Amino acid sequence: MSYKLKNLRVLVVDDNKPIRALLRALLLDLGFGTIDAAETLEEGWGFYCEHKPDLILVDWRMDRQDAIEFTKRVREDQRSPAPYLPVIVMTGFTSKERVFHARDAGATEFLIKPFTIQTLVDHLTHIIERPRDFVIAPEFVGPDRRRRSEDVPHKKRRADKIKNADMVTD
Amino acid sequence: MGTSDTDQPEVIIIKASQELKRKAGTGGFDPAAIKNAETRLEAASLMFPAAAEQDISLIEEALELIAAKKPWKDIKLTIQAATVELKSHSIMFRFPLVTVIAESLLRFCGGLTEIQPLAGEVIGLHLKTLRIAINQGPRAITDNDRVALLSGLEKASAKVLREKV
Repeated sequence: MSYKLKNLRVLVVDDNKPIRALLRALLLDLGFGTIDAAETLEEGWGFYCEHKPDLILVDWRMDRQDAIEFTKRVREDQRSPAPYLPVIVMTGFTSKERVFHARDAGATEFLIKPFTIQTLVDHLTHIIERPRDFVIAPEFVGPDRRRRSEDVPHKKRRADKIKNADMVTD
Repeated sequence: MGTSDTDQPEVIIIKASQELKRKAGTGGFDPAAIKNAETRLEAASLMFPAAAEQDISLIEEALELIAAKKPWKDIKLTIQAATVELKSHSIMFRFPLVTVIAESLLRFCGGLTEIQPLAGEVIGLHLKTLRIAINQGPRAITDNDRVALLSGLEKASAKVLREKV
């Protein structure tokens, strides 16, 4: 028996149309029931407010801050319908500072591009199986940044990919 | 002066939601579904030229900004961001020649703290080579690529970076 994902809805936000279409198809292949694919953060916000997905994947380009602002908006905007839902930030640029920046904005996971299907599945499994407490503090709103190392099954692999970074954990 | 308890910032901890787990159930991802997704990703290489268009256009625009003598710092970020995307996607879609050219362009831009004479030409040369590599489709890097394309890029880059020093 495997996961029943048909009743799960995922929002993908990526301004690159072919990549967006591919991500949508891959998530459908993996069994998710409904995928909303948005080109812009504003469109993504609209989908999010209207459909209240179970999970968000948002692309973060090196030259922009909009994916980070989007994540903070999901966490902190008073109109946000599901501020605690998992947000996966995808990016091809992986400096230590950047990982911490995404984490501090409230990202649940950081998915480094290029990724394999297995890596994507690992992140999604982690989110499903090991949800974290949610912290609301004056300077931080998001999943608890303190994670036990045993909570992170691919610590070594991800650490290898993140230049000069020990891990996403504190 | 001491701090009373009431001065401490309020931190609220909300217990982890089990909603996804409840909806998804148990058993993990279906291996057949994972295989389907892997097969799709392997077959998706033909999508790369379309996926690369946006970033190629950004590098073209950056070249126009260099010609217009705009600040290098902003141009550099645009080129680096577009090239990082190209590199990531080229690995995902298995265009190794594009990956190597993108790495060369990133090294070159990373080495420039300000715009140098001929820097625009070297970036333009990378752009031209990227276009060739994208149009040739997914294939392994050949000895001819190393001689005809990659060594030329490296030499041109080194010449400009040496001039900087």
